[in-house]
Amino acid sequence: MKTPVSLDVRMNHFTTLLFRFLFLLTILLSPIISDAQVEMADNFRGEGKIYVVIAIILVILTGFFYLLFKVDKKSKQLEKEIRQDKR
Amino acid sequence: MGYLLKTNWWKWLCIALLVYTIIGGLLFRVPKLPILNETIRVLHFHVPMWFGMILVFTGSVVYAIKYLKTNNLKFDIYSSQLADMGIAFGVLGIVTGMVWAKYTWGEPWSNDPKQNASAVSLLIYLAYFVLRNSLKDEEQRNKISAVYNIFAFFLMIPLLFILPRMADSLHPGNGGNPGFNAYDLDSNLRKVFYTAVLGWTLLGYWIASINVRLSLTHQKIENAS
Amino acid sequence: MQKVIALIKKDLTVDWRQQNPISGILLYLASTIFTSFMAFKGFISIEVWNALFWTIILFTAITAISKSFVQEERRSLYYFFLVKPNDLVISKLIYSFLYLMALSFLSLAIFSVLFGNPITNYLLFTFNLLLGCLGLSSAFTMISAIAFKASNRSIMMAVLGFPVIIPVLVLTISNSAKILDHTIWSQIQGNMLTLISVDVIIIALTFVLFPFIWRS
Repeated sequence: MKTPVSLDVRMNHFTTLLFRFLFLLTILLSPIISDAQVEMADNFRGEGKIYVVIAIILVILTGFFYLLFKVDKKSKQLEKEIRQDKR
Repeated sequence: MGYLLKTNWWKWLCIALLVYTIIGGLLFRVPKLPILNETIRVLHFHVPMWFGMILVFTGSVVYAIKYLKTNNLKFDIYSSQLADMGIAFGVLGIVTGMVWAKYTWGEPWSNDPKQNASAVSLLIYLAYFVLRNSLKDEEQRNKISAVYNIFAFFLMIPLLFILPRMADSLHPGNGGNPGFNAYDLDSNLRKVFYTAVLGWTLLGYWIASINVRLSLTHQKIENAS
Repeated sequence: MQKVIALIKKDLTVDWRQQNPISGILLYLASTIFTSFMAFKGFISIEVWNALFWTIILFTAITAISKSFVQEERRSLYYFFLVKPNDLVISKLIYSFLYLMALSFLSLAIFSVLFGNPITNYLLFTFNLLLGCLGLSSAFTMISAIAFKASNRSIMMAVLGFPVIIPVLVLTISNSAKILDHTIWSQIQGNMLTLISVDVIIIALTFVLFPFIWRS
């Protein structure tokens, strides 16, 4: 009797989290989704394959973040070695 | 704060150039061309990856020659780290190029000679790292990989000029495409492009130099213990 | 120069006396060509003939030349005191060039028996074959000297060699396709000159860089 309840509760918890996340996403993306009455830089996102430019910039950003992680890993190893040496 | 002011000037230059690239590359007015549309702005993000790759590989070869001349371990570290950075630039160039080609030429890999040449230069430097890993003795490894680096680089350079002559390229400049000169006339585009090349290359050099410093420190610890 | 000739003679006698490697490579050539004959039988055009011919030359070259330094393993210490690295590399370059030339003429003969012979301009075809073999043999000689010290040689030969050899291969294949298509000299002059300069670059680099490998 006990297990289904807790599962139910957990599911509930999960769905509320999901809804909260979706809500947050809608707020964050609302400038794109909403049909803006105010003059915004809509053309910037609109036509002309500008999405391709965004995708490519994101790819490059991802690449440089990867490099950053590599440097991070390397320096961590170095710190570890120094700590072992001191002992 | 004091560190930020005292750090090397070229790091600030790199930041300034890249900020200018992002702002100028996304906001400046660009020539209106069919098929390309707004993606002409990718010029400032995709093409500098290739220039960066070639420049960084050139640096790697210069340090390889220096290593063979002096046998100084420092130069080998510089050489291999720059080659590593060049591979990163090359992969980024290929991936961004494939995305761009998908939406303008219709398919990600259209057997374009420049695509092929860049794939070959990536293969060469991946082979360089395979070679490095397969040699056990350290001095032997450094020497032989430096020799391969020089040998392969000087054969890669003619390849970059030969392959495009063998077939029509979709890239501007040769073949049937409107050349770079067609939109080169736009001085805004040109200004941002050269800035972008320098900026991205400096960013690559920056990361490589951090790696070099870490390797040198590692060496020092090993020698001390 | 005398030392170079002596070294070439030594390579010849060693290969002749052992016989195993030579008969091995001859059989390799014959069975490769025959296998591809079985596979390509029926739809062989001039373009396919050309591509197949050069592909087989490429694989023969990498197999034949990869042994040129490997067999010196036991002798290398002895060489180290006796021979200048430049003499050694010149002799190796000449020997592997002659070796590859002989093999490619042989494969041309087998090709014309099995697939027929589309060559019209023998002079130009042979000249192109000569330049192609020169580039292939010298690049692979250098690569085999590099791979000599590595742990898994046969894979390293392919990994290191193929990207390096692409300029020579692309030029020779397009040249020979044009020659088989009845092109006159003036139309392929530019490509031929580029091929010659690539060959010169390969040989010069081998000459300069080899002593560094040999000393290590």
